[in-house]
Amino acid sequence: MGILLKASKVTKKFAGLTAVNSVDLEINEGEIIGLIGPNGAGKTTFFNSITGFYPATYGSVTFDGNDITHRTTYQNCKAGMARTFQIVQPFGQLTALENVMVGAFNRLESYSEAEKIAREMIIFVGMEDKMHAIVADLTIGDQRKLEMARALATKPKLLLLDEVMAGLTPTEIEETVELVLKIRDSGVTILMIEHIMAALMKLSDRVIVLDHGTLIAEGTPSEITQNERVIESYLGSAYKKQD
Amino acid sequence: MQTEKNNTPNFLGNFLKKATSSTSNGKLNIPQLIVIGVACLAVLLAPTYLSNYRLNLVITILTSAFFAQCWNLMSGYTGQFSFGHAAFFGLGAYTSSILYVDFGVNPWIGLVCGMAVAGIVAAIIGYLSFHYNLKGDYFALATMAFCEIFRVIFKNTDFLHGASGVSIKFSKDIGLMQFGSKAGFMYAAFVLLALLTFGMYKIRRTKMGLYFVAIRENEDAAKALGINAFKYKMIALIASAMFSAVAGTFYAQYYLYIDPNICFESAVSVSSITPCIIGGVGTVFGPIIGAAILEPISEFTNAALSNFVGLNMVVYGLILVVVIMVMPKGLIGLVQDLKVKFMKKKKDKKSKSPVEAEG
Repeated sequence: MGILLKASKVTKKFAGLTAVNSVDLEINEGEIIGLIGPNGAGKTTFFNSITGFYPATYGSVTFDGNDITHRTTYQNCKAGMARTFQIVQPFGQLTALENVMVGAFNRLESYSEAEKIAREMIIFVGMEDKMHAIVADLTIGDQRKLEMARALATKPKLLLLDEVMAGLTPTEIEETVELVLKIRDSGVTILMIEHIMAALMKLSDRVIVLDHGTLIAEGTPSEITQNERVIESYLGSAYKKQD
Repeated sequence: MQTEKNNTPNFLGNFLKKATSSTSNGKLNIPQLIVIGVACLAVLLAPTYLSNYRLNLVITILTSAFFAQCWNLMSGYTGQFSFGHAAFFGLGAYTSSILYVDFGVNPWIGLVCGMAVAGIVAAIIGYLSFHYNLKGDYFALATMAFCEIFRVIFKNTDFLHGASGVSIKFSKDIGLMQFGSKAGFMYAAFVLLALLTFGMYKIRRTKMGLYFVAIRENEDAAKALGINAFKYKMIALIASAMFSAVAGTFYAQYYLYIDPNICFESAVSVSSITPCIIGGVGTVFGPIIGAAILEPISEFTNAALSNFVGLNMVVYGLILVVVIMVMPKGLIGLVQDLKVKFMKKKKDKKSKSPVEAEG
């Protein structure tokens, strides 16, 4: 399996604040990578740097063999990188189907083909009963699922999920775990930020931990839960007792 | 998160969001088609049953709807609130008129030249604004400022006829873009409006149309889904400007006189916005419905209050305020909301009745 994404020394500064500090990361094709860390650790900023929302101040990002450090968001999407947002960003006044169609048009020109792909994606995430609902009226859980469908419709190689399980009910979380596995099995590599540890441990092949913008640990889920520094800065001492 | 860090004041954008009803992409149903057919027929037969004075009102409605439809493309569909559409209107009117009066260029060619000039100016405004990420209220202010710049330039340049404006010779030659009678102008205005409206209806069900609306709804999300927002905003702006120039040329050819105030005043820009707001921003037929409501009101207040200078504008303004308060989403939005409410009530009744039966 080849390396799909390689970030080296990615640094993002906002005025005096270093939000992401020299982070190195390699993602292999077909992996699910979990990204954890306390609030304000720079997880979302790291996402934004990779996807081109806030280009990195220093460092470089290579995706699929090409240097994408200075590319913009839409170019990255064309290259095969799709994301969801921590705070859902729906096209509120459009229907669920149209929302996903916007994604499908990334690779298509024809309206009817885009509609077909969008339908498939909505069925894939299990929302066929809400195909024509206005998205602003949907629940947060549905909006998050829809955002995944929308991202998948762009036919990405790498999917970046930013806290897709936040605010969901336990049943919904279970469904989402299944969904993420299904997405991976369809050949999409996944990088996900998540606070729901149980789900993350179940899903991730590898977990990386950010704290104050710095990568403090990397390893398999079980290695991470044993890591002193991670327990101290993020998981908390309760985790020690559990194990 | 992007939205939190993006603290551009966006009063107009937020207003737009509230004013926009869920844009239906659905095909027209049969009752709607019948209404449209009847309306078209009524307009087409108007010369047979209306006086010339009334025909003038019909022409005003049609041109006003056309101009509003231009604004609707860029601001209603694509969400880039323009407060300076008069700039493009005026450039169209002036280009064709000056070319005709001073250089003897046929107005039909002048029309195309006017579209080109407006398009180029729009491209410059758009490039400067969108490249440097001017958004929301700042963008609206920029368009307003550009428009004001043109007014001052045209007012103070002798070459452009200065404050005295341009008068166009009356003729009855369709080759000179004069349609002989009021009826002729009305048919011309009808064709223009029908073509643009059909285009607006069709484009909504294309990739480009959906991209426009996606940018309006959420630009960050649109970019993340592979949309080159800069490109599509430019396309919407330039197309909108070019059509506005057509409205300008048509106005000049109909009234045969233009001056910097008639063309570039902010009232002209506002006249491209109000029909959309009254009818429904971002909807295909909103601008037409809005114009059909507003123009007669304006005409009526003008006539009824002609003894009190300025009072007509006060009354017109009051009516506008009340309408916006009662139906912030415009008439189409209001009807849609009522429909949804009605459906819900029906559903509630249905789901309740079995329980009652059991009880």
